[in-house]
Amino acid sequence: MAFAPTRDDTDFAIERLDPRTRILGACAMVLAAVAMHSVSGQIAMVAASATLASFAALKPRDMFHRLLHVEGFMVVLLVLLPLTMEGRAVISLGPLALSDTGLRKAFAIVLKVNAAVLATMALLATLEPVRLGRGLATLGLPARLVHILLFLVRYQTLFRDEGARLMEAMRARGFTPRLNLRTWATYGNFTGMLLVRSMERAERVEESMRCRGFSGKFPLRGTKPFQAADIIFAGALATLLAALLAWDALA
Amino acid sequence: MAHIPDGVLSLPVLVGGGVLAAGAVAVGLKRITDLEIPRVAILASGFFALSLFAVPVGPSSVHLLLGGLMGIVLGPAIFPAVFVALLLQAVMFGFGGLTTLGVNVVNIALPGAVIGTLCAPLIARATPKRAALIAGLASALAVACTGLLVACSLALSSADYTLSARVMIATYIPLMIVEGLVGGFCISFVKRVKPELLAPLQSEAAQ
Repeated sequence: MAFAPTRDDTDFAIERLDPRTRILGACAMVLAAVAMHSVSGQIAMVAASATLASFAALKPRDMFHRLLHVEGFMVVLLVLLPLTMEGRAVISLGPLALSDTGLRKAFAIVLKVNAAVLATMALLATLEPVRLGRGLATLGLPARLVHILLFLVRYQTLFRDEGARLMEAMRARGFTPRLNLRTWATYGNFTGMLLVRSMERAERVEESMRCRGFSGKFPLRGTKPFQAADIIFAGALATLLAALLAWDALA
Repeated sequence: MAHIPDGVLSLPVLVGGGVLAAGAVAVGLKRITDLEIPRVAILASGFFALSLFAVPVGPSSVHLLLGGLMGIVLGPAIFPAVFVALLLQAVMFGFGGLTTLGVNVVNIALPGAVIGTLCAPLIARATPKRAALIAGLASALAVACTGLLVACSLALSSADYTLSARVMIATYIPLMIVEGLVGGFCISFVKRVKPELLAPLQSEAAQ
């Protein structure tokens, strides 16, 4: 059920915090990371997030892989900014020139994005989805959205396994993806099959839920009150972020 | 990159996207009853799982956005479904972001909602072949609109992004073609195997 690659040892400081503390803390850190204007402030945010991430039950290798993947998403932007923004040319390659303003902007984006991703991973990636849902419910997210979230957590793994089985069956029958219409027709059938299975599963679940008297509401268990650790963490984080933002404003 | 990460967009774009998404999610939730939540959620899980499978395109591969198909099957419930899916992706996988959640929901779900709502009644009545054609066009159009919206989110954030945004639209063209084909074949399959799936959710609720 766990999405996040967690280390065996679950006794990490962050795991003991209340889900609400972790959600609000992540939001505060992401907002601070996005708000930083100066390069020194942005670097400090990356350092702060990375330090925090080292206290989470995340494997460093998996974390690195995910960061690489996020960078992959932005390749277009990062490559194009230095090429297209006006400014003094730093490096020229024939007709292409990398401008200083473009490079600086691209660098700033890399720092901000990584600080935000690291902070989110540090505080939320290892949070059990059910606890995340409960935390979000206590923070005021509509109950219906929380229900959808809990269903999604439960059934997405099921349909991923189902899809993997379908793929294996396709391969067993000799299907190899190529650059042709037949490949996409096969993937269309695969998509359709998985949707049909989802629908059938949804009908079965709905019927059995009604049998048990489901009237549209689940009891959402409340969270425990905040502990001393939450107050200490929140205080420390608020002080750190305030100091960093002040530094950034002066820089 | 339909999942715009934190730290790229400007504040007005983030706030605008957030407000728009909050309104759309609220409307989407209003259009379904409490009793329909499990069905919508389990279908959303199916779409979520599908979006994680890579579809090979020659030596490379793409992940489907599924906006068009989701719009056809879920109708306005696409907004809460996409919201929750993107929230989970941001939190668990680090794709997308927390501040950009609203913008990303609008970029992916809005084209699907509009195109899907318009096409669903046509597809429900059409023969499998025509349904496939309509669904294929709808899927491709939804991807194109998402690409345009992503480019607009960037261009509105900063004038520096304008050229990058234009190039980014071009990167959506392969996805548009693949998603159009897969979406078309998918609906043709569903239409033959389980056409009830394509009856609009609302009419079922009325029964």
